[in-house]
Amino acid sequence: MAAENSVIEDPKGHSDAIVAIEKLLEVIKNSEAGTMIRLTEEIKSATKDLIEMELSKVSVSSGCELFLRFITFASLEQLKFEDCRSLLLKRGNLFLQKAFKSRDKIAEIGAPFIRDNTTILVHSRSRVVLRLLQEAVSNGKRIKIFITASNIDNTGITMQKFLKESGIASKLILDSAAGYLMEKVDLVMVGAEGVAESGGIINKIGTYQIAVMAKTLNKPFYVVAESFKFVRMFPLNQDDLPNTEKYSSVDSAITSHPVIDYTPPCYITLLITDLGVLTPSAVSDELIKLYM
Amino acid sequence: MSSKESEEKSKGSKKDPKTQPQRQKGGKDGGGSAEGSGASAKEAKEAKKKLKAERRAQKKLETGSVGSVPSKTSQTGPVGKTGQTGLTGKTVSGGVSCSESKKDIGGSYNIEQVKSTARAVHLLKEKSISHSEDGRQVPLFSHLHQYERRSDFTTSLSPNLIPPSVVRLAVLYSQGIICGSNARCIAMLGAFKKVIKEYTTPPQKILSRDLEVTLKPYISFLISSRPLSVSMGNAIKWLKLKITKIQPNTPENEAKQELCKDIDEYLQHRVSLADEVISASCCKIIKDHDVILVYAHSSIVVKSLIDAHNKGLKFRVIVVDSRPKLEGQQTLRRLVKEGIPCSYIFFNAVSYIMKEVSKVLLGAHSLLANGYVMSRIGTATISLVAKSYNVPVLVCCETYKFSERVQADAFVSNELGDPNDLVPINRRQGNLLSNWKDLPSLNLLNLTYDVTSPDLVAMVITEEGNLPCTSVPVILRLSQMNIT
Repeated sequence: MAAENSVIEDPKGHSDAIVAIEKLLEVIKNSEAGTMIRLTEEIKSATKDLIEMELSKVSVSSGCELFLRFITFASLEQLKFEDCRSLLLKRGNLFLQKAFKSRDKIAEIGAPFIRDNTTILVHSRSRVVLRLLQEAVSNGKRIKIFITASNIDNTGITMQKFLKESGIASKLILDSAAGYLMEKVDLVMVGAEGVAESGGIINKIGTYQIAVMAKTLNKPFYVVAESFKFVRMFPLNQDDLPNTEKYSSVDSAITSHPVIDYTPPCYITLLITDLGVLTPSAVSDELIKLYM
Repeated sequence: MSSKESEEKSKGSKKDPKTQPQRQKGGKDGGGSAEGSGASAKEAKEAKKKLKAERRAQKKLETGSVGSVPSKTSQTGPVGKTGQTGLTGKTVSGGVSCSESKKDIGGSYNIEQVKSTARAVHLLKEKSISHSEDGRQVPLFSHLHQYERRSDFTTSLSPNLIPPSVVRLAVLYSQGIICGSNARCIAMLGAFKKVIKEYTTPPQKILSRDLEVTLKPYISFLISSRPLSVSMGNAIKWLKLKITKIQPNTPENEAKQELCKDIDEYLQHRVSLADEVISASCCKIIKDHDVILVYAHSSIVVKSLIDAHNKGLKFRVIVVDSRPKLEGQQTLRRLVKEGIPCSYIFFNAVSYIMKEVSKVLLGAHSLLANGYVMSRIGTATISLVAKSYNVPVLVCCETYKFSERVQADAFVSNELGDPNDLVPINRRQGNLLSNWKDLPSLNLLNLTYDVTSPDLVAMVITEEGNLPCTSVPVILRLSQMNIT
C-alpha cells in the first residue's frame, strides 16, 4: 500500500485528483474494451481502485466523478467506438488542462484578498493555499503566517518547509493553540479535500474547530479549492461523513481516529475557486449546472 | 357548533331542524342592529327573506323533488338565495342539457341533489354570518383575501357556465374536504381533464385560443372557493402553455387526447414519480436509531417515513400537532397503522421534546425564489427551536411547487382561515368565546401559512437532488430553460 502511495505522490506537486485523472486517461487510452459500456465500467472500476489507494479520497472521488461526467456529457450516439474513444480522450485532456491551470487561476483570483501586513492562519498542508501565498508575496505583499502542525500526521511541518523555500516567514503552532492565536490573526485560509453540495467543506481534521473560532472572533474564513473538488455529498453532521473516507486505511496507528471533518457552510466566508469567488450557497448552483 | 347552541338558547327550541338556520339568521341580525345604524329597513328586508326561505325549505322538505325548485326560485327575488338559485339551476340544467355527461357523473349528481336542499339552507345561514363578519378584519391583514364562509361563491353562477365537476371541486375545496397542496393540484387537474374531454370547439373558433378562455372562469370560480395554492398556480400556468402550443390545424379529438395525455404525464412525472424519488432519498438520509420530528400532515413526509420503515430502518417518530386543524392526528393514524413507534405531542411542548430529536422532517406548501419555505403555520417556530437545539431541519418538496415569488415575511401574502375554528375549546365550563363576535375589542386571526428563513433549514429534498434552500432560483431557471 505504502509503495503504491509513493508512486501516486506526484513529483511536480500536482493534486492527488489530477494524478488520478491522468491515470484514468491512460486507462481509456490502453483499454481493450470494444463498447462504450465496457469502457465506462473499466473507468469506474479504475476509479474505485484509485480511491482505495489514495490518502485524500474525497478529492479523488470527486475529481474522477466530475471527469467522467465531463467527458460523457457530449452526445456519443451515432459514432463508432474508436471515434468515441478519441472524443473522450480529447475531452479528457481538455478537462486535465483546465485542472492544471486551476491552481494558477485561483492564485490570481485570490491574491488580492491578501493585503500588506496581513497575518494569516493556515491549517495543515495545502498546495493550493501555498500557491496563493506565493502569488501574494510575489505581488510585494508582506505577510506573516501561522501554520497549525496538524498533529495527526504533522503535515504542517511539510507546509512550513515549502513556505521557507519560497522565502515566506512562518511559525508552526500546535493545533490546540489556534484559539490563543486567533485574536492576532487577520484571516484564516484553508484548503479543502472536498466541497460538499451544501457549500460546507470536508478537510483535514481540525478545520471545523478553527472555523468555529474564526466565526466567534469575526475573522474571515476563506476556503481555497479547485472546482474538481466539488463533490455530490450533503452531510448534515460529522456522523454523515462516510467511514471509508473518515478513517485512513494506510496507517494502522490512526485508524481509530478520524482524519477529516466537516465544516458547515455557515462558518465559511467565501470560497476562492477557479470558477471565481463563490459564497457557500453558490457551490450547489454550480453542481446543479454540472449534473442536471 | 357553539354559535348554534347559543342561538338555540336565546330563541328557544323548535322541532324542525331545517328551520334552524333561519332562526339563527334572525339572531344574527338582531346582533347586527345593535351595532349598525339604519338597520330597520334592512331588518324588514331580512325578515321578508327569512319568511320566503323558511317557506322554501319547508316545501323542499315536503316534496323532496328537485323539479319544483326552479319555479320556486324564479318566484322569489334574486337577493337572498341567489346562492341556491345558481346551484340548483346548475344541477338541473346540467342534468338536462348534457345528456352525454350525465352518465359520467350521474352518481355524484344524486348526491348533489340530495345535499342541495340542505346546502341551500346552509349557504343562506352562512351568508348572514359573512355579513356580520365584514367589519371584523384584523388591521394588519386587511389586505388579504378575507375569509367568508364562501357562501356566495356559487351565487354568480349562471346555468351552463361552470361544469358540475368544477362546481363539485370548488365545494370540496371550500369545505376543506380536499386539502393539501398535492391533493388539491391532483384533483384540479383531474377536473380539468374531464372539462377538456367534454369540450367542443365552437364554430369559427380555434381550440388553442378558445379552450384557454373557457378555462378562465372555471379557474376564477375555483379561486372564489379558496385561494389557489402555488402548486395549482404552477399547474395552471403549465396547462395554459400546453394549450397555446397546440397547432391550429390539429384535429380537435387529437388535440384533446394530447392534452389529457399531457396532464396524466404531468401528474405522473411531477407528482407521483417525484414523490418516489424524494422518498428514496429520505430513506438514505434516515439512519437507524434516529428520532424524527414531524409537524402536522404532509403526504410526502408520511410516505417517506412509511417507505423507510418498510425498508427495515429502525427509527422513532414524534408527531407534533397544533390547533385548530389537528392534522397531526392524520399523520399519527397512518404511521401507527404501519407499526412505526410514535409519540404525539402538542405544539407547545416542542422545546421540551427537541432535546431527543435527531432530525426534523417537514413538508412544504411552496419554496420561494429567495429560499424561504412557505408551509403550514407553525413550521417557522419548529425550525427555530430545532436550530437552537442544533437539530437539522429537512424539507421535502417537489420542484413543481417552487415559486418565482419572493417573500420575506408571512404578512405580505397569506391565506386567512375561518376565525370560528379558533373558538371551540371544549372546557367543562362551556365555550367561553362563543359570542366573540359581540365583543368589539376582540378580533380573531386564523392564518394558514408562514415562511421559514433559509438559514433555519439545513437541506431541501427534491426529486432533483438534495439542495440547500438557496438553490431554488437555479432549479427555477433550469426548469424554465427546459420549457423554452
